[in-house]
Amino acid sequence: MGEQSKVCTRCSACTRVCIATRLGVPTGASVLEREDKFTCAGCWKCAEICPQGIDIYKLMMEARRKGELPESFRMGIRNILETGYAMPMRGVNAIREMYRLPPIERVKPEVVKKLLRGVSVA
Amino acid sequence: MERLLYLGCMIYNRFPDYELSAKAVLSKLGVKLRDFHEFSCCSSTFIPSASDEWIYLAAYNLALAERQNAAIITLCGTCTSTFKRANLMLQDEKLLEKVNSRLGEVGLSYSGKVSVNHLLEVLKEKENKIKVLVRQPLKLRVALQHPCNVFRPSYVARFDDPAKPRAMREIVTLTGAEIVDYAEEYECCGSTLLLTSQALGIGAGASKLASAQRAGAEAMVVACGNCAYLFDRHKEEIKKRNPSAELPTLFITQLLGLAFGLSREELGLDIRGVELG
Ligand code: SF4
Ligand code: SF4
Repeated sequence: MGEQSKVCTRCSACTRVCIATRLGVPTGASVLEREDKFTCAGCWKCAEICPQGIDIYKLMMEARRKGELPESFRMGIRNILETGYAMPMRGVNAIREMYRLPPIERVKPEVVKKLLRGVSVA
Repeated sequence: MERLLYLGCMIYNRFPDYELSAKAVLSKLGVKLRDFHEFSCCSSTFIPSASDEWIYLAAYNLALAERQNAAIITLCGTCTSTFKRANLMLQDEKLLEKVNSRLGEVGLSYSGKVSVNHLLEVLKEKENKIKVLVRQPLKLRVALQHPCNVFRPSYVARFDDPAKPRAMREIVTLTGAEIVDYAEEYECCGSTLLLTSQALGIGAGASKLASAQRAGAEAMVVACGNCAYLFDRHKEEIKKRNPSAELPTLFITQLLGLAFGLSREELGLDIRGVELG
């Protein structure tokens, strides 16, 4: 955490509003000390409440990028690279027809692969 | 200015009834919408967790809207925050230049200036029109799920009170529906927890719905596909966890549509099989 641990006073204001902590995910004095950086609801109550104004979102994302991605994240990324969307899109137009919605055209995977060429889940 | 609905994977994949009802209600409110379905994933939450290249994919969508000379209306929380964050970061000219050089490879460019608003922001602006359109004040007790990322982080969202947002209450009140106070109203739904732990996500959903039901709610009103993904798509698992955690999920535009006198079919309630009271 380097620079940031100088600023964090370990006041636990963030952990008190954290849904993951409330549900029993082991957390230290600060959500930044939680070992599992991915088990997080992304509600950013922590970032909002921190009296030190620490950009917890940014630090959390940076920490995630250094660690190993959980399989669900790898799957989401694989889907994005292959189909343009995180969720499976097969059969979407048939469902849309049921709702009387027009069919959609999906983004070309080459485009996404070009834009995200530094992202891989090999 | 014309607006494009940014639907994202949750709505394409799971909740066409949110799209259908949003279109029906927004067009009643005089919002000029154009059908546009060439967007990709907004990038969140997966790509930002893996790489700072997420901004290229976010900017790609914004650039597509710019080429259509249109603004974006989002329907989910995280898409909203992702696009707003990209716009905020792209005020930095060096980054904008870098992003544009990558966008150029796919034949696009972006100025950083496409306006992005979540549905709730648009509805807030149309309150007067909503009042006029409500034909059948609803006799329904509802609980609200405020979509976190529409309000937080506040330096990105710049909308409403990040701790206790009022927008949804103010809009839903206009329908005549009674809003119940429940202990967990301002808690996150917890849906994103499903990504790493099914048990935690289901636990969060069960706790929320039970809290709302104890307070007398007959439906949970949401304004985000991800919240609906937990409450609706996992309702069987939630019920198994806590048999008293059972509530139908309604998108805010379905509630408004009912108050406007639109039919269940026009709002997609028939196909998703939503039964009220
Ligand atoms: S609220 Fe801020 S200062 Fe307090 S423990 Fe959390 S990160 Fe540290
Ligand atoms: S964003 Fe994650 S760490 Fe922060 S309060 Fe929400 S669940 Fe906890």
